[in-house]
Amino acid sequence: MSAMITISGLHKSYKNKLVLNDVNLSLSAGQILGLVGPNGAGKTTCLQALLGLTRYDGIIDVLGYNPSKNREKMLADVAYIADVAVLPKWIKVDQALTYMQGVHPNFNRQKAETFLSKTNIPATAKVKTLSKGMVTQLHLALILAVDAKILILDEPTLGLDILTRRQFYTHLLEDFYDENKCIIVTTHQIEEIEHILTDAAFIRDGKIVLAQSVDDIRNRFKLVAVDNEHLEQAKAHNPLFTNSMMGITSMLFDNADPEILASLGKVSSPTLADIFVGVMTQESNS
Amino acid sequence: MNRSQIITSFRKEIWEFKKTLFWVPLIIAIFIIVAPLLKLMLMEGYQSSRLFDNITNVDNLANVEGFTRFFLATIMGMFVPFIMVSLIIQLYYFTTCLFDERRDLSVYFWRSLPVSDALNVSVKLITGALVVPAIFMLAATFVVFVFLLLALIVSIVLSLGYDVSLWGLWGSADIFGNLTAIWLNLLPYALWMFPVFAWLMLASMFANKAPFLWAILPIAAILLVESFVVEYLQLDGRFFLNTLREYFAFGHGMLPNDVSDIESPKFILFSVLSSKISLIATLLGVGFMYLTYWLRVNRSDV
Repeated sequence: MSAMITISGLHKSYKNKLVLNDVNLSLSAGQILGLVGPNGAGKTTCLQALLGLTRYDGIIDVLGYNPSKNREKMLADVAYIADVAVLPKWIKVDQALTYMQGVHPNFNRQKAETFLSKTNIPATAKVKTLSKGMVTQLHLALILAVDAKILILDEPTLGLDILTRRQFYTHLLEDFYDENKCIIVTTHQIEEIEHILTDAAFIRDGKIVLAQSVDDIRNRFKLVAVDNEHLEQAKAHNPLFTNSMMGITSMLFDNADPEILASLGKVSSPTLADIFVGVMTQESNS
Repeated sequence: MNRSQIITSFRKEIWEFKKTLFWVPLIIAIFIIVAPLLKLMLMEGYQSSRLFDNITNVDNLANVEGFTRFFLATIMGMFVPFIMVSLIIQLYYFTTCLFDERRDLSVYFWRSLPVSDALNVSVKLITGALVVPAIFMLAATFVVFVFLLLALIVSIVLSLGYDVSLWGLWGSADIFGNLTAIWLNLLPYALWMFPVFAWLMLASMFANKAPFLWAILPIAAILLVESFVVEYLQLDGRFFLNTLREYFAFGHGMLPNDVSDIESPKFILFSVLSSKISLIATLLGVGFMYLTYWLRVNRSDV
């Protein structure tokens, strides 16, 4: 299957500070990629480069378009929600719908209105009078009504309560996703979305430190509740991360022999959050 | 870029400044209509008689050419307050149009949609340079028509009640010709002010804080440095100051001494405004616009 997004050798600097360092990623139809990293890791910059919203060095191909040269054409098939409330405060809900209908060739107003009718957002309300959750719902309604091939979400649920966050991802899967589309999402609450991700990429200091399918990651990393008598033996196998709590020592191993791990203690599959912490801790220690 | 995108982009600009663009001209219009009517209503008896005598004076009615000029001057006078306020609104619009969207981060929303930066910047330029003054001129035209309606009522009353016919004057007033001539001034006015508008847009796009100061301070700094250099080196003239003064000088010495000599008075303002347009200033404006566009494309990150 041909890639919908290809990023090769992406670099970006702000005033001599390298914020993206040789980023390489590829995404095909049907994939949902979680781009995960600590604050300041370069996630937003990476997405903005992908959208042609910032200058960059390297090669980016999105649906055959170069984002820095064909941004408008590309954005007809790419939808984006930024990490902060970016809808203008002065605009009314119905004006936002009219605007989208006027400028976006793939916008379906009826779909957006159907979505909004399930919320308590009045059509005549101004964005500045809506709560943060309502603004996100409105933005989601506008974006999900676009028949886009690629959806890019930058911390879309930041600052929202858990109910709204769950609702958001449910709508995302029900109303947008199918096997012909792909999604890139960055979030801090990785545990909330790991069940919807097909792929994950961990980014730290502008560099991708891990990029694989979620299934491969789960096969590659194992969490072992190490028996006390095997602690020293386990440490000899270079665990990525060790956590001792209430008398139980858990260790995260990367690509270790399953038979050896089984001899050390109880083996389980770690969550993506565990792996993220392990990989990031190892990176910061190295 | 298509027709729908262009129209919707203009609608967006109007929505954003709807309060200013609707209420300000409306308030001016109401004031201009109500003030003279109030004055008429509060007139003493002898003042009303004098006014009536002036209107029905046979000599005055016979002076058709004088009346035509008086009519043109009157409607131009009605446009003046609208144009003055419109200029203030224009300066405000240009200073904020690209700054506000970066301040409230909505630039990320606008730029995530398939609308080109060239279209965005062009629509803002045209809105500020032509649409804003056109809205104020529309309000002024509305006021003119209100007064024409009142004049029509007076004419009917005088014709039926006092056997005084003003209908000849209506024919010579050339209402639509004069209004068209006034509206035509919009184009040379916009071209004359284009470098200023472009400079303000550049400041609006460049500034991270206080765009108005960014627009004013460089000019003030250049004038100050020039003044210092001229004083220090004891040079003859101040090139920058004189150039600015000459470019923006208006009215003084631009009209013929005797206005009655002018063959076509309704186009005098058009020719004066056209004479103010300078190729160098326009090219400078184009340069500012290109820089604004470049910054919008490459430096929109907040």
